[in-house]
Amino acid sequence: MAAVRTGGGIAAAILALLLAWLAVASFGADSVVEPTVSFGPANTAGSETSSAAVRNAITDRTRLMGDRVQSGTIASVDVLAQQPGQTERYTTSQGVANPEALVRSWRQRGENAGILRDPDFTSGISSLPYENAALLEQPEGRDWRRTHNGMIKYGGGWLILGTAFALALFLFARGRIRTANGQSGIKVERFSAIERANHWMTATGFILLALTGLIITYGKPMLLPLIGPGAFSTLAQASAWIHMASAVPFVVGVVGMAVVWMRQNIPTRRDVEWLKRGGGFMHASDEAPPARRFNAGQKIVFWGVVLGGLVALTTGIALMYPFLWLGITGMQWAQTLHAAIGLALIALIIGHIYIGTVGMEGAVDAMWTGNVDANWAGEHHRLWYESLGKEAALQHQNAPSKEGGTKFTGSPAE
Amino acid sequence: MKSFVSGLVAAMLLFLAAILVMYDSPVGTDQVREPGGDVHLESQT
Repeated sequence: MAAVRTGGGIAAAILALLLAWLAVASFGADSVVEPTVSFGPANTAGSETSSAAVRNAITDRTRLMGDRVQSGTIASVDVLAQQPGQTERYTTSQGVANPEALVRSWRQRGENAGILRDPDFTSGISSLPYENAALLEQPEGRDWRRTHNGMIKYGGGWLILGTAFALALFLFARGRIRTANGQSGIKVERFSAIERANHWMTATGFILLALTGLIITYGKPMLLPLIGPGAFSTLAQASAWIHMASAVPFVVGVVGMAVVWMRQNIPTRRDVEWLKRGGGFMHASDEAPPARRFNAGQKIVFWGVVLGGLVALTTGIALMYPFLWLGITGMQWAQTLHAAIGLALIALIIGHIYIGTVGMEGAVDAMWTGNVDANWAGEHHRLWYESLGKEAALQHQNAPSKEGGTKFTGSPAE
Repeated sequence: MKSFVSGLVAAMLLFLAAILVMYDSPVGTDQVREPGGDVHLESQT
């Protein structure tokens, strides 16, 4: 027991260090990749002189805009006049003839930034048989990039590491949740072989999805510098394929779970009570609130996986077939939602794995052998246990009881 | 243990089936529409 709590303490300390590192990364100056807007060649940044290269670049841009004027996309360009605060309107053909005025204008982009910050799409003309090629600017893309590189990546890190840290701290403080009356030696069937096989099939799919999803999301900043571009390219491509293929066993398994377990996972008023009392997990002296086959915590995992899985599946298919039925805004939303749901599911399943293994004595038996001790069933799922017939008792193993007796022996309903 | 192995094997079989179906399929490619409405594929890479 002490060893488990010590392990929790060590894990909490390691995770605290990781969270501290994440905090530095999150709030550091270079935490979010935010390209600067530059209107000239990169090597002239900070230069006050209008070099020939800058002039050429601006001229090229202006000529491109001239094409857009001819196509009817835009009519003219506003540029700053020599006098501060005044604006002159140039048609783009005039702009080409007077590139210095445009250079002046581009440089003072604070005043006329609207040229590039049109909230709508700015499309041009493309002879390519690819509709996205004609999209010249999509200012919303900056919002998507900011969300993706900031909120999603760092938020996901906080969520996953924070969940793991909280659980490790809980293990350190509380220890394992013991079966208060010890082992009765009487086993009752908790899950059938089909239910367990389906669970492990889903779990296999999910573990593969989670690992490859994390590589896809965090691989570039975290693995690329360590293993180099060649190895990372192979790993990233393999991850993308494994991610798509392992969705199949996951989805098939979740559909199976939904069919078999949905009725037993419908929320009731009893679940509110269960949640209010923290499942009886908080203190060793707490008694678990009465629950049927699934308690409120398990129902949260069930609905999280079913509904989250549905959103992840829908958005995932959209990402597998880019632009088939979604435009660029739809693809950005699909990617953002997919990443957010995926990261939230990883955090949820970390909690599920914790309470199903190290966090609670006897819980893993339910999904490993299918049979749980009668005392465990009586304490954590009393209403379900009491609803079982007398024949539910499977075997006597004469396991020693902590209190010298078996509180729930023979208690299934007659 | 048996059900764990069964689940693992079932997952791997479905995984392999998915790889076989997706291999050489339009998955992961931009759907490029010709002006006439025909769709052909352009690799992302």
